[in-house]
Amino acid sequence: MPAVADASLTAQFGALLPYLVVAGGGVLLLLADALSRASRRDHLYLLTVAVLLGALAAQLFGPAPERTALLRGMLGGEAYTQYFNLLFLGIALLTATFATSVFERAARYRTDFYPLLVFATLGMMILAAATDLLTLFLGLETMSLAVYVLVGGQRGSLRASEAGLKYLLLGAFASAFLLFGMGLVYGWAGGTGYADIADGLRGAGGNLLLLRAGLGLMLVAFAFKIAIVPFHMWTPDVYDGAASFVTGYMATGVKAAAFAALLRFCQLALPELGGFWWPLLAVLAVVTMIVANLVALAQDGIKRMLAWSSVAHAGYLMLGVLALLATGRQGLAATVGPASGGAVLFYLVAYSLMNLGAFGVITLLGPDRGEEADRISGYAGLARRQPLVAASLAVCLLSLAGIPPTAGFMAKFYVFGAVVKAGLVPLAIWGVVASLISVYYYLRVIVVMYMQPAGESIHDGRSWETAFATGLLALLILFLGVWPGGLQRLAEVTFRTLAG
Amino acid sequence: MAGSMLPVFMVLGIAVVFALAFLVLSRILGPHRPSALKTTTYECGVPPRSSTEIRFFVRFFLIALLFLLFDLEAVFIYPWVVLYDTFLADGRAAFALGEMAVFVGVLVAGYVYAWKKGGLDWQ
Repeated sequence: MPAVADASLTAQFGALLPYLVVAGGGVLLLLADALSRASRRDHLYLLTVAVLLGALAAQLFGPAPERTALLRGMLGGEAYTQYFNLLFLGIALLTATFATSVFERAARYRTDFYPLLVFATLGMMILAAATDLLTLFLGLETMSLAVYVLVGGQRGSLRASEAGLKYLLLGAFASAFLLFGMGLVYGWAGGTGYADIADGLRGAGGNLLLLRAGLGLMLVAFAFKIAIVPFHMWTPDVYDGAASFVTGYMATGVKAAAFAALLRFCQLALPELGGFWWPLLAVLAVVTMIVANLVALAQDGIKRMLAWSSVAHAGYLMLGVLALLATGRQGLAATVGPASGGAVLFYLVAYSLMNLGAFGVITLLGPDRGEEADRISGYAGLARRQPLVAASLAVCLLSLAGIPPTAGFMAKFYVFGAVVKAGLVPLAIWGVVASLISVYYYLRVIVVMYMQPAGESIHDGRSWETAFATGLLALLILFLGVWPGGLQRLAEVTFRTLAG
Repeated sequence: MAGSMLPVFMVLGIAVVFALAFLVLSRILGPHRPSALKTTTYECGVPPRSSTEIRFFVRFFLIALLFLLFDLEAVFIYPWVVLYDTFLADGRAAFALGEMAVFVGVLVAGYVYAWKKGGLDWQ
């Protein structure tokens, strides 16, 4: 039995502190929720914010990230982990803020939301940091189980219950794929650690069929979580059925966490994924972009439209992953790998900002009369009534469409640039064509907001925190669109810590 | 790799051969006198008398879930008890005790949550 030395734990305590704060805070919130009276709900929000800010501080002011693995190779402690932890904590903070504005007005949401949000965030942090198949699965399930409940967590809403059940059943199916794949990879490598798998790949011996089948099954599970086309069927229903602040959390946090784990895994199993599975992944990425954008054209509900758009964005992000996976090939400069990995990291931040902004506005306008601001026609005349909110939404949508000067444009620019540098020009062309299609449905909402007179269905929610947060997000999107250099360099340097 | 898997495949092969052999043998050797009752689908238990899609009390589900949760905790505590002597021997007893305290603490938090939220009331 491997002994767990106390000394190594104390030395790693600083690096583990963010996880401990989030985990302990989650338990604390659970107890506070159970023991406090229903009328004192706003305390839970403040406690959530305190927990998340505490974890942010522990991450920012903790020990400098190192390449040494934590907990005997279970978690990675490098800057890559820190980058994603900060992103997840930020997403959770904004989500809690959006949610609290709704809780004040609608009683159908349950206060279990706060502990579940914190636990889901813990799962994301573990998922992004996992350097062992066991922690990978543990993180994925911690995140997923909490999110299943978040999706279904509206009292008396049939659609939310349906969405939660659908997500749970399909998610459990995807987890089974992941486990089968892990079993085969473990059988091939003889260990569950990423280090064991890397050793096995260096030797490149044994039964490659076993490894390829295992990686293929694991890719199915990743594809489910990031919603790549044949595994995307749950996305519109679940995104539509969940409360819009939960949808925003899923579209950004869950997707970013799955991509963080996928990138780490790709970097590890580069030769095999970049060789055998590459053509299939390339086809799936192209099909994803085209199909999702075409279907999004026909949507009348803004949440379904954004759900399909999030599928399309998973396709763009996959292009960056494909460029990274192509680096094993001959005749490519050594800079292509970090450039494409960094582009994906930049994209994830930009994508999180614009999606959170969009779903924040939907949350803000929504729940006054017991229903969410879903129908696009209901946004008519919004620019007249709430000009700042409409402007925030417009910036987010322009950014999602990839129009300069927004973060979304720069994100696409870096990803497509990396794809071209990797010599995959046809893929880049498909990506550009797909984003051209997408401009139509994003602009349609803006046209409705700015050019149509207000109809009979007027959404008119007000909450200064959410309005402030979405305005801030819009400003950040514009800032990153004009001065993207800083974050881009940070993303590339961060990715290098992973590549070594 | 292939060599070490050989016994597994052998067991698989034997299982398939046995199952098929008994099916074929009973077909050949057994008497065949079908009647209406014999050819109906066999289910264990009483045949359903009405639609099976009925509402059932959700507490059953909740109690079963809670039972599973707190039942399984014993599975984790048991090996810890067995190993505790070795922890005592090399002076890491405090660490082991602390770890179990955290584990049980989280469980107790869950118990308090279930209790306060009315998960244990049969009303």
